Amino acid sequence: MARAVLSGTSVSPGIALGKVQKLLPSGMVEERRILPGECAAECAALRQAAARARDELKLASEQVPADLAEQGDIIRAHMQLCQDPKLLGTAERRIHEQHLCASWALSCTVEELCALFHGMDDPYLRERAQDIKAVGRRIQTCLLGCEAARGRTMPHVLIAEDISPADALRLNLRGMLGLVTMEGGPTSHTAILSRSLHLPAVVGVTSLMDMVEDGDFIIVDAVRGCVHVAPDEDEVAQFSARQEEYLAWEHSTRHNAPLPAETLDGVRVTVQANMESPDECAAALGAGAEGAGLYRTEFAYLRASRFPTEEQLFQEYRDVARRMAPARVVFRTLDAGADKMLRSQEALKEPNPNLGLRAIRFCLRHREVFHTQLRALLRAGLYGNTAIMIPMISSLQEVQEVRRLITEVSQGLSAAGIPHRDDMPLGVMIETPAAVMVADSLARECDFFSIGTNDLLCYLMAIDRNNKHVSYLHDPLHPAMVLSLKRVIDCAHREGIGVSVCGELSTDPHGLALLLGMGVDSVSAACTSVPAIKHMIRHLDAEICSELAHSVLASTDAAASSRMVRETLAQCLGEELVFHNTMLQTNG
Amino acid sequence: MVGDIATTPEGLALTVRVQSPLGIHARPAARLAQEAQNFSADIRLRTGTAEADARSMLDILSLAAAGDAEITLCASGDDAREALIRLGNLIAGIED
Repeated sequence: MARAVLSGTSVSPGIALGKVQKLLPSGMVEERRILPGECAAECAALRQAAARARDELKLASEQVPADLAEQGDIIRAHMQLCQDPKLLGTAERRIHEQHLCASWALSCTVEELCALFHGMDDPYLRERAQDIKAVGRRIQTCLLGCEAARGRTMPHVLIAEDISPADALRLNLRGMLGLVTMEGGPTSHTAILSRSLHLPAVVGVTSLMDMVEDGDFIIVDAVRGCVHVAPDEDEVAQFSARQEEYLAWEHSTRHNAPLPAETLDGVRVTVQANMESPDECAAALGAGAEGAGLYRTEFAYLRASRFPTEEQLFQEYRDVARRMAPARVVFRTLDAGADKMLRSQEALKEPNPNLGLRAIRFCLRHREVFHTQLRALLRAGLYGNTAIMIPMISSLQEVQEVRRLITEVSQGLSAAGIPHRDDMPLGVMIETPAAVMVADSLARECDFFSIGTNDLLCYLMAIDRNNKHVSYLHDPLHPAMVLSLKRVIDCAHREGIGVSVCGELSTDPHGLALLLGMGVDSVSAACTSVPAIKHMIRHLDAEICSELAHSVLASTDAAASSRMVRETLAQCLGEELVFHNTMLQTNG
Repeated sequence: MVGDIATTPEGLALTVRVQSPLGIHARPAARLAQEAQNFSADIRLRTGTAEADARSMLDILSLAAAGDAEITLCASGDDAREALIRLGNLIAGIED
């Protein structure tokens, strides 16, 4: 028997078995005893962190203006402290003699030295304790960054309270077998990260950090959504076998990925990939994606400290368009805000950025930023099959304004003799309840719809996607959501335009069946989900899905809807249903 | 005010007087440690009772060398002589 079985929500399917490594929040001191054999690696990590801290200070010292020479002297003194033999030597001795990890050894040494200076008679020297503390903190931060580089390449299951986009950057992905977090839901960053890495992940395991220690052996069952802590031999054998079955199934879906996605009764559905970098083109095409249904353009903006130039953007967009051609690439214009803030947005200090000046609202306020992006997009339009998509639309006037801007940009380019495409299709994201309500007029103004199911569900239900206290309301089968989807799809089809779905709902077999039943034209999901989606579509019958959608639309009870969907799916997909992602909460 | 370099059983030694009323404070200590790291010789600073590694700014600071203190620099190794001259001049030259 395992020591404990903790339940949570599977957000990326699969099974992983391995030793636990805890991810610590930055700024925290890790207090871990190490094995004698690990001393050398810990010392090296300490040296490396100290060197990095010194490099950071050096960079800072070069930027000190001449009239603040005093400041420069302090920084140089701190640089010297970063490589001080007493500080590092004492910490290293602690690593060797007391077998403390680098972080712990450093914090003890800093405290000891501070106490020493604090006790001095000379007030000047007493104050130097501040310098030691500051340098200690700086090295400590670098040490957390280096953690990835140190011994963390051993195969492990990462556990954390939560994984923020910033944490994701300092993770070492090599050797990671699976992810388990305390916080988070099906659309959290952990979920998105694990799916894109193709790693089994379970989130929302409430007692995780208390029940699991560094070095514990655990089984992550991200098919059922639970974690077995310290399993016995039988359990290990059983799950190893299950892991193999899963991998075999997954392999077969990948093998068939290049085949078109056509239902049993011959309805063709376009399956595309969500992308965010030109580097992903090969992976997307390899996974059988028929284009990019959502190309996120934020990353060029978030990576750099200043706004990217038109030329930089143009080259990125052109590369993607070329590599994906003749398949279509739908570029979503800058969707900054909420969890992806630009500096100029952070400065606004909005109490609730999710409902703030984000996405198109930001772009219409900062015209020069939007203008640059539109120019780059129109120019790149000549190199492939491209379209523009506007996020966070909540009124018809916003779409009309964007159209007007596009015309203006196009005229500007023509006047300057710069080649560009002036008839680029324009679509809107349907992700606010307002857009659902005015979908009929929006459909007359644009060329396609794309439903962002993650945001739509949150805005519709008035819930924060990371707030686990209200996660029970995160139910895509809630009648409000189902009726909204239906309304949007019908409005689009009445005007003869296509509808795509680019949220998590399309990767869920239940959601996918429902969407097919409502007549959605295409779906777009993470590259790694594309083969499984195509596989599911080939096992579904559009007629049956349509009947299912009919029943679900008539239902006023999400739990009853869920039962209907599960029963239908069980008939169509049988045993293998367990291998797919699902965000249906009632799924047991 | 650099005196003569003496030969002792442990290596070379040079006695210097700190001129600054503030003694060796953070900035010169950082400077000293940085210079000391450029030499391969093992260099130590001694006052009456205490001793410090010249490579460690913290060690130098904790010597708490007050103004007008006498410091003996001891060095052993290939470039001990050059090290003593360089550091001796630095200590003697501390002004503010």
